[in-house]
Amino acid sequence: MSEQPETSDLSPFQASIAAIRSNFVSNLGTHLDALEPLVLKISEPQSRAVAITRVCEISHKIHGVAGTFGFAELGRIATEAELATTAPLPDLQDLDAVESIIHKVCDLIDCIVAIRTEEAAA
Amino acid sequence: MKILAVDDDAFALSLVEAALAEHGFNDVVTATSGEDAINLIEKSRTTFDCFLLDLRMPEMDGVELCTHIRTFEEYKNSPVIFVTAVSDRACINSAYAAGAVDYISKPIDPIEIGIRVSVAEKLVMEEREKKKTKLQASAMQEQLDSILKFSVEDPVPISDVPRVISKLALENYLLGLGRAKMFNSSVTAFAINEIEAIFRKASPTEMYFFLTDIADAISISLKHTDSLICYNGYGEFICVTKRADSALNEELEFAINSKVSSFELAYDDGTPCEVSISMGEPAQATIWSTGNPLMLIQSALKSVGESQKSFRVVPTAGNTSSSFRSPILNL
Repeated sequence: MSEQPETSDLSPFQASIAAIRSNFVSNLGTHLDALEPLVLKISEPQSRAVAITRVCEISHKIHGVAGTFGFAELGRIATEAELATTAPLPDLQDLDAVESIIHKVCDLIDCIVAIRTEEAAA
Repeated sequence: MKILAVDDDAFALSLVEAALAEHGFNDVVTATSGEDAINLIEKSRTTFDCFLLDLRMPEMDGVELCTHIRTFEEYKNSPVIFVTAVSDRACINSAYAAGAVDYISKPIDPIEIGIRVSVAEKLVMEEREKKKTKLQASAMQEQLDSILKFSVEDPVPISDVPRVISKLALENYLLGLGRAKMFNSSVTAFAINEIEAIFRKASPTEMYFFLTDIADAISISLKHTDSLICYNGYGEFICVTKRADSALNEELEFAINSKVSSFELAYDDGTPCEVSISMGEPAQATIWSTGNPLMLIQSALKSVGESQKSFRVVPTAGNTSSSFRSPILNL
């Protein structure tokens, strides 16, 4: 899931990344706490649009930095979630389209959970 | 070089700082919002030399922040580089139109940041030299002429015209387009037919204002398009638009010339400045196109050169018959 750099022979940039990487993983928990309730809100018509906007913001943030920290797969999944929730959106009354968005969000959640589990075990 | 980096995400800011430090740029101030950045700019005792901005931020986005930065006299020409995960073309166009000179995609590559910011540093050095010259000039007209003294081939930056950006920024924009977006783009060149005669007769200040007015005429004529324009030197302007843009038709050349005529351009002695603009065929990538997208600029310039061959300069006592064209056309 993650490609953690070797601790030896790190450039100054890589050393800086290594130093804040654990904070990034820890902060993924904050994103997780925000994303999980949004899945339900997307399924509800009255809160759907706002929830999708929020998912877009979170996935954009993750997309922008995950790859640099060595989480290329997370970056890829976050990109897909961001693209799925960026305007112009599909018809939000189309349940297939909504379901597709929910799947992308769930993929992102699953990826975050897997990273946190792996990091906790390491 | 003093840099202000702005991003609402603390991790992104840390990465940018680390990438900059890797290349020796240690004088870095960070802000997590546009409002925060403006406060820092207003309160800073020393000026910032360069700005690295995230595009998508809450409250005030990067484009709005860049536009605000450009209202400060001391930051009118400071390099602004966007560092963002946004790939939407309209957003990127807005960033360049707001005054960005470059654009770096996230996830952050420290090598790319180092290269781009190093280029920005060169621009800063050039600007400092210009400012030094400005302070040494005595009279306002002499001062302007010495600052604006340029050769006909110089791609002087045109300021304060919507969607007109520097040549460097336009080239960076083209180089940053992916293959699909390149395929969906057109590059069109416009050229001043009388550039030789005008350049000989006009003072540097007059020449600069003529170029600005012509850039304005092109920008106004293309105002309903999603275009970016730059001045290439040699009286040539380069425009990048969407491939399917219907504004790129035969009527556009007529519209631009009509607009230029309406400006009634004249030299300081009151003599009318006769100007006509030729437009080339749009240059477009094909699905088989490989290599440097800047080749589209060359194709566009070649096309406008061909359209100018039909333009006859009426010999007068003042002009010579020597050819005076961009070397890229090999005329």
